[in-house]
Amino acid sequence: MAVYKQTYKRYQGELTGERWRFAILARYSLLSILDSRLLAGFYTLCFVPPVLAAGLIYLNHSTRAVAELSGAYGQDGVIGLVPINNLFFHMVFRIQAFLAFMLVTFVAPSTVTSDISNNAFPVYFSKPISRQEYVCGRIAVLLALTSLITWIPGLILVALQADMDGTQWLIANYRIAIAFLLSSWLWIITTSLFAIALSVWLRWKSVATGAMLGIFFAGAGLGEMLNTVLPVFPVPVQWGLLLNLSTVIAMIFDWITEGVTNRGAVPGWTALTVMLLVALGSIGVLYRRVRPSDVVS
Amino acid sequence: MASFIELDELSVDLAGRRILRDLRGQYDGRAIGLLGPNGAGKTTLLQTLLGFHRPASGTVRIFGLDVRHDIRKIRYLLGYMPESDAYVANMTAIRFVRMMAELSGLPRRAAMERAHETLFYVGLGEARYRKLGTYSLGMRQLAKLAIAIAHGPGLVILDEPTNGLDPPGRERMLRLVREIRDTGEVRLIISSHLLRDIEECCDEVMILKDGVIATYCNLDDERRTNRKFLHLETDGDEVPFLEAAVRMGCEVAIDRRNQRIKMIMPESVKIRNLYELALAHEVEIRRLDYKRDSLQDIFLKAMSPEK
Repeated sequence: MAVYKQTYKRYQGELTGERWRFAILARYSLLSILDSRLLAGFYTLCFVPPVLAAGLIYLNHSTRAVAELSGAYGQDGVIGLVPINNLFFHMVFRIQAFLAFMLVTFVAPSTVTSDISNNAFPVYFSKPISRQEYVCGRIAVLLALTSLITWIPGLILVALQADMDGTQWLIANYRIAIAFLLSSWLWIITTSLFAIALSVWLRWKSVATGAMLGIFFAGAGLGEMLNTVLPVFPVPVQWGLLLNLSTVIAMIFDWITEGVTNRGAVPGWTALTVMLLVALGSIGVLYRRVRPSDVVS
Repeated sequence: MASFIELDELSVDLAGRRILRDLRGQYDGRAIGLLGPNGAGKTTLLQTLLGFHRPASGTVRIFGLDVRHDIRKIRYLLGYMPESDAYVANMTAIRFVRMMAELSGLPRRAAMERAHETLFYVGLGEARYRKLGTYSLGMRQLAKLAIAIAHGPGLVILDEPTNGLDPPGRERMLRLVREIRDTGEVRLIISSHLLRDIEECCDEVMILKDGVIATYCNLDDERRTNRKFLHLETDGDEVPFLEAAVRMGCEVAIDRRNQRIKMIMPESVKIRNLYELALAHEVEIRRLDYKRDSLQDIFLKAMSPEK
């Protein structure tokens, strides 16, 4: 249909495959996100901690030879430098998990609420795309963005450390790589689902963002209150920690690495259960709310 | 043409209430108008065609494809313009229309081309890089039409296309709908409360009442039929004229109170023949009316309690 002809003509050309149709939504979401300079700036800042961590790993090894000669090399590496051990990777993971959470908190509502507030679902679902594909498309962009700041740099850091310290280190600490991979995926999938579900439910961008932050920080505070209230007999288990999602994912990381164990004596499987429950609850909300039309009872 | 919509004992329940009851029939009009009072089930029927609601019983086939099982294939062939606002406020029109075309399966390049062309076609060419949130109501209606037709579907469903438009906007929308219809490349289903919109754009009409099809008719046939019912006012000696008319096969009744003649003409008699007859009998036809508001009559008849 040429512009000058100004007439309606059916499309008879080839069609694209259906398998990656959801990626169209992800691509357009990404374009909208990159339109925001604030978000683009924040996203760039999310790469700073991994770069610093890589610098520390490099520094630790490059000064090692000198330190060994000068006697400044101890059990935990170069004396005066941050030791590259389980705790180092734990901290990197927590920082990146927090940044990923903040990114999801600010990005997810903008991708979904704009569809809801102007009732765009009937138009979307009149196209050959299912509700599941819609949600996948919206989440895919979050997973792509957060992957680049969580498990991908995490694995690069582990690889860098293994390259510099030798395969013996990797054999002894392979669980760190597994923990980075599994914990990051669990975290980004759960927080993305939660943020999208909350956005769909609350319908307003600012309200959804506020609710995400509120639940995150209020959960931590409530958890601390609960810990002071709960009886410490017969075993002092701090169940309140399970209300703090940031701590919950750190518990899972530690559970896999068999690293830091003093997490209020809360078993690792309970932390995993909490994350799975949040994810399942979010899927339930999405199933009920993402519909082409509302039926009023 | 083969029927493009087949309803087979279709019933649809929403929130535990039966909205559509036992609809059946095969429909093949180029443009079908869907009429009915509020709550008659128009939007539910349209949304069932789109696969938004599953039939409680019965089936719907569009272009021979079952809505229950082949909805994905059907959606490649459909374009939908919903009644209420449906857009993403912070997206430009060109980006939104292009995205929708891509979701309908068009490759990126083709989607881009068709998005530009369609926006020019509906009259939003100059405003295509503006965000949809900044559009006026009339522009948003046109943008919805562009979204419905950008991927070049074979069936376009328009739900209240002139909703909220001022008279020039309404005229523009109806002209576009007629143009699309007249290309012969697409079938249209138009739901509206406005009888004139349906009358101007549709050739067949389905009237729903309480979830059932009260009437389905071809407007051209109705108009043709109605054209045979005449009201005449004459001057001169009308008796020989009327006798001659009866001999030609017309049925005649005289309304003495209003000084009017009611006449039903057979198919073989044309209005021109009446004028010739009047001239031969030196009768002056001062007024000749045939019913123009056929759709209104059809609608009122369908809505009458006896129906």
